[in-house]
Amino acid sequence: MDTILSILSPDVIFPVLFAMTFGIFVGGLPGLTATMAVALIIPISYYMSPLAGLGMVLGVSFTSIFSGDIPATFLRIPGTPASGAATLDGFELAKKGKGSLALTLDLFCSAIGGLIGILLLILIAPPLANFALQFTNFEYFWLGLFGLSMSAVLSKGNMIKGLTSAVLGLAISTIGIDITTGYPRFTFGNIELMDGIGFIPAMIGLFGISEVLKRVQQGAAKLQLPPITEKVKISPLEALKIIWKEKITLIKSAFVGTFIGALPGAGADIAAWVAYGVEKKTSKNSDDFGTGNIKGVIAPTSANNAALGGTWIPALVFGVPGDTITAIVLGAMLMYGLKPGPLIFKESRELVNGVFGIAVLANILMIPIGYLGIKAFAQVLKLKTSVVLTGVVLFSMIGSYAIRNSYFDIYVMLAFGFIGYIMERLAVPLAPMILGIILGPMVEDNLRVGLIKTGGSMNQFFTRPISLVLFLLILLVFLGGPTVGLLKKVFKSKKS
Amino acid sequence: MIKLKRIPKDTTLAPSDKITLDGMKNVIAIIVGIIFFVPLINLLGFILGATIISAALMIILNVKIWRSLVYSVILVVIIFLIFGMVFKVPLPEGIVMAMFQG
Repeated sequence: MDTILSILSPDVIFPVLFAMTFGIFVGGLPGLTATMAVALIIPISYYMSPLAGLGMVLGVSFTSIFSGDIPATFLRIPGTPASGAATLDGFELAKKGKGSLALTLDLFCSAIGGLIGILLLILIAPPLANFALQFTNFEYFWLGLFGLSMSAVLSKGNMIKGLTSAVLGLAISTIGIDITTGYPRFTFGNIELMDGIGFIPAMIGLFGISEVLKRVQQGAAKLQLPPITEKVKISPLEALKIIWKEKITLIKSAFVGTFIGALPGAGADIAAWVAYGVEKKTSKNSDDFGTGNIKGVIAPTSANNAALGGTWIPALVFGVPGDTITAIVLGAMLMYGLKPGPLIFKESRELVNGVFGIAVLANILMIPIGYLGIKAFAQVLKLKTSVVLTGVVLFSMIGSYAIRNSYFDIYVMLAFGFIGYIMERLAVPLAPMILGIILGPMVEDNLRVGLIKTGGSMNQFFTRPISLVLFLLILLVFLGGPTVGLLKKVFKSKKS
Repeated sequence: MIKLKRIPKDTTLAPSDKITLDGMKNVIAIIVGIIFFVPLINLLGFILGATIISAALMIILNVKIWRSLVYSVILVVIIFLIFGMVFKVPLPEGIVMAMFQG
């Protein structure tokens, strides 16, 4: 009861509603991603209470992932990477003049999928946290490495590029005064670097400025988006009937999405593609996919919103982010002085319950807000892209500054924006780098404390049962894929 | 794990878009704009400095001059209200302005 009251208090619900509207807007504009929406909202949420702040992040992430489907359907340009799969069947439906129907389906399926993801989070996280109470430094060391390895292997591009990105992130995380020895590392005598690289400015640079640079590099002529031709007409009843018929697809995709989301390093974008792939594989008429199949619309859009709930599972329970969005969330939680991990379910149970409550509420509120978003989208497209991008630049600068009132952080943001831009041009994924930055201290501190406990012996890292399992899992992450490939080749050559 | 291998190739990451000369100019303009933001707002104050940087960027990105000014003033005032007024983030008043106020 207290939880419900605290969620519905005006200092919480209004920021959340504002954030959700902001998410619709940012997610719907191509070139502005969901992660960017979260990075840009953090400087504002920083000035709110932890509950309102985390609620804003949740609200923004749910609505922006949904609204990415709007331009994907109408213009075949994904509004955020998680809507990549929506450009296939959704756009084909729009070509047939059924774009509004596809989007109504997207809206309901996003909300239902999101709810399923959150319910799984609520069911799974607390017992998992109880189990995680047995973990000590040895396990957390491996867990951090496991998260990093997963993100390096799962991320787009190849494994070497993923690993490069992860190691760069680890290196960046070592900048600043070493807590154990008090020795300054990579500060080059600069006082500003003593505290380390500001996480939030770095995120704003990587996901705000680098996206802006990527977008303007094609020249101003290509900046303006085409208008939409279809008249938007929304018929909820028709959509609900279709959803009832395709409920199995929805639920299956939501489970797949939550599972993928819960894997460290894989977020909503991968979840959407996997759910689409699974649906296509298991469907009787898989040839229809890509020509405007309803299932091809429902599967990815349910999965990407469900993945959001999934990504919070490892983030809350272990402090290992499930994707780039929860990586930023973990950075924000540390800013609030909250330490993610199994103890948070004991020490800050009320906050956790509040977060769960807001997540459920946000998915329900998404239906009216998303409805208005679809309606208003034609108007939003008339906004000059150049003006929006300049707005993002201004907001990124002032947001980076506002966290610590530090001008230096504006330059940190710029540096990371440029790094992110170069990395994307070289097709090096950004996600492993973020995980490296956020997991670096976890890996390093636990390794050191572990070694101090054992007097320098590595034995315990391999002899404790859970440690050993985690270590073997990491081996599997790296060797699993190639081994399966090799076995397949051997079998094939035997057959022929 | 095996299922993951069937992910269709994602094309959003491929650096396929060619950088045009005009695009190069835009990228450089934004980087230079951010570099000069701090000295400019310290000199002229947040509102004036940020408006100049914002309008300059918009003009370079092909927005008409008078529109750029209008949009920039609106943007900067919104940001000033949120961060300066509501959150009380200390924003520089500017050396020049301080001189006028004596």
